[in-house]
Amino acid sequence: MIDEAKYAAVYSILMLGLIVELLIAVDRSALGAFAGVAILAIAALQAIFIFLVYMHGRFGPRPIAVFAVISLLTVLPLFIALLYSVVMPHHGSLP
Amino acid sequence: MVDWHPLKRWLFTTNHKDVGILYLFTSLYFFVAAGLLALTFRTQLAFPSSTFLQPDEYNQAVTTHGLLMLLWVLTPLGAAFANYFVPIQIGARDMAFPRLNALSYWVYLSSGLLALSSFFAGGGTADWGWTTYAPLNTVEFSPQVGGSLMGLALMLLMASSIVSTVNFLVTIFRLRAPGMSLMRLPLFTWAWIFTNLLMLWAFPSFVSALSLLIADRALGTVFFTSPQGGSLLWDHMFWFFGHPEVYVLLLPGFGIVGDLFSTFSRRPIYAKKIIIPCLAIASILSFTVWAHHMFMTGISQSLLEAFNITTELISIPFAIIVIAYIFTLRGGSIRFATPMLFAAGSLGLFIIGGVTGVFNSSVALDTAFRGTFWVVGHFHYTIVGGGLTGLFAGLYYWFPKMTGRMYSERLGKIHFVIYMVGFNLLYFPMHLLYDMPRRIFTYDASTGWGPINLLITIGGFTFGISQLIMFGNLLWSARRGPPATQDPWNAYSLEWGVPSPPPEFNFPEGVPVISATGVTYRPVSAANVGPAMANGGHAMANGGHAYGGHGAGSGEEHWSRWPIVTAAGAGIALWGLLMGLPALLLGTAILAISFVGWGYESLRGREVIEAIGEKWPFDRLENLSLGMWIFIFGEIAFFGTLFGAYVFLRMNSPLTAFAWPAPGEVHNIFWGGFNTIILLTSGLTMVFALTFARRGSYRGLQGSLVATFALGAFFMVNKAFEWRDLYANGFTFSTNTASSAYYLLSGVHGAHVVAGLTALIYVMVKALKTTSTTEASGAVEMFGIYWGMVDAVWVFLFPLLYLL
Repeated sequence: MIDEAKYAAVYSILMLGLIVELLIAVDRSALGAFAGVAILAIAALQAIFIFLVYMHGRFGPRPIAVFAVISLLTVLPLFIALLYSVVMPHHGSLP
Repeated sequence: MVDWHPLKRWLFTTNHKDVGILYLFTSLYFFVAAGLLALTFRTQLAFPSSTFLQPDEYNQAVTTHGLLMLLWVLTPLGAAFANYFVPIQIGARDMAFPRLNALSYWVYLSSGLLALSSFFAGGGTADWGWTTYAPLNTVEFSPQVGGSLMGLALMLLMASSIVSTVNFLVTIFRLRAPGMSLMRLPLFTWAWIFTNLLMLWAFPSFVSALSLLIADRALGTVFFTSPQGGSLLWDHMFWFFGHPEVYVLLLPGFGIVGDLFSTFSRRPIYAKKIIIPCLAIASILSFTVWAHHMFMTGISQSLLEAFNITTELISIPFAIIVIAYIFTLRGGSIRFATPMLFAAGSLGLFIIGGVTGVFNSSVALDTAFRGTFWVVGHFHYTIVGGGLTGLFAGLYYWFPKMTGRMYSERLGKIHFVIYMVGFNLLYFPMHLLYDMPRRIFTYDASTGWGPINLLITIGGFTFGISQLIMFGNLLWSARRGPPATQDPWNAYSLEWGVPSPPPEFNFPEGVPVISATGVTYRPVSAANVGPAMANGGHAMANGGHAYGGHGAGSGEEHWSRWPIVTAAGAGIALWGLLMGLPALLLGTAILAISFVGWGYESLRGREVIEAIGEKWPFDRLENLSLGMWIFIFGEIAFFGTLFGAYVFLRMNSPLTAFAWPAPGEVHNIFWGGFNTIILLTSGLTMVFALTFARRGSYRGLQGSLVATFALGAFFMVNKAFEWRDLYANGFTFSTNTASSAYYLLSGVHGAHVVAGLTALIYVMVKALKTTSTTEASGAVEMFGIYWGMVDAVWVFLFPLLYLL
């Protein structure tokens, strides 16, 4: 029964996260400019819980976590470059 | 009475060596096709103001040549050798998933035929260059349906590659013979590991880019036609795949060259412990250099500087490897047989390509060279010189092992000489054309480019004719050549310890056990097979074709008709998607039948290739689970790239005067939230299913699986209603960037849910038919990992699409 209790607890955490996300989305004034960041942070936490408890904790040893992090890191440069391409001023087209 | 056995063998085989031979012949077929296209457009360029080809024909020939050579020739040629030799080199009996291996091949062939069929689709094939730059790739500039077919063919090819990648990584990590530590692997296998890791993380980003492109072309979304996305988004997504792809093409040949230097100089590889980390560093850095292809796109100065530096950095590990290779030869007794000549030639040509590459890393020089024939010369020295020439070295090297016969050394050397003369006549003068644009179909005589172009074309034909010598030599020798000994090169890796050609089932003497003193063979007993056969399969020492099992069996019991049927169904369905409903329905029906047949074949039980040797670092996982995890790593790259594109579109919106809809303006937040609850609940029932399976509770297992299926299906039904309402309110695929992004992201996720539900049907049937719940737990575990990923992706999609 310990497993079931653990999974139910994580499920409760996921639901709680969802409720908080909805509350923030409905009334953004409380967090202002940080509302979006807060929602994304909750989503990230939810994903981590799913990975650690539903997927990894049950099914995978440590090398899996290492490879998962590497997988995330491989797309990180693309994220940064895409953001930079928008945020930073363009130098204009060349001849 | 016709004997169909040989034909059936090649159609239904799952043996890794047969699959390797199929890859070899198919990739060489595409090599000839792509080469003929190259000779066609080189003929066009040989003389000024030529009218041999029309502009459209020229563009189609160049595009198809590039795509075929890069994606349907070079990588699959490496895969041919890897299929044939990696399992033997690591001391394994076969690939971890033999049927998936056959599927990879047939899907590869299916994608290639789809690509070639695009020529005949009316209006010709893709004409936008192999880089498929936007907006050339959009319907406005390339309206022909053949372009879309090429896009679908590329998607299919990527699927084949990713499946193959999963298979190879599980095989190499889990199926090594006892004592075959990672450091004892030959350089080719090491290079193949890094090639596969690059494919695992780079190819999904291309699938993302192609998803957007095909949605634009077929559904009318506006990713690359709107100011929010446009050409810059394509450039980033494409080159993020495109530059690692260069190393995917290069590394297999590079690994072969290293092994050959060692064999033919009779010296151990110099500094192998440094070469392997250098391969790793180069692979990592390959994900940080892609924007050097984008120096002219107007991206910010700071990005240019950053990519200038990373591009120069990546030359360092390669320089170290080259030096180590050269030091391997020092003091050795070098034998210049044909494979060694090609290996040495490959390294020399790669050095020239590498040096000219350093020029291109400079923003200032690249500004001058970009878009000229200088760049064409550079990348052909790198890819053809370093990649293809190294693979040809491998072809001559392993030919005696694969056929049991020696080729003509004299013809091999003649091939080498003409190959090198032709190659350098073809590609070196391109550097002299640093002022000639590479994307023009003709030029005026007054430019003065005519004589050099004529020289290049002569080089092209010389290079092409040299291949005929190789084909003639190898085809003749395969039947008439003198018999080859087991180890004609006095080489050291495990494939040279088995007869030439190898028996159908590897290592008939038993499990190879590798130690510092050499290789011994250990008969397999039930005790060291392990508990793997609980899955309904045949134990390796218990009726299956084990190490030491049936050395001369026909192998028919390993055949499967479903890989070729699945691939045919996929190809026909994709063709029909653009060409007509009957073909689409036919392809879909074939696919559905193949899935049922595949599942039924699995339920009847097939032999399981289990790990009995070295498994580090994945000792604690079963093959199936590791395979699923590796697939998930690819999915991270796939969805990561899609999310990156989404963020790009959102961030670009205010700069392009587009007001992204506010939360609640288009989507019903609470509808989305309700669907989120449903999907997360299905995740909970899924983990309960595994708990019940391990605890032996039939009722709990079946109830949990049914609940998961019902919740997943309910999620999709809700999603369908939501789409219908949005569409009815005028929020269509092509309304704006926000609508395009919404439909694509939620659609791709929905496709994953549907695929999961299809797989879940198999898991439920397996759970029903098994006599103990633990038998089903493997399938439940694998599916649980997948379903967790589907949940994890949605917890990001929900806020991105509904709340922000």
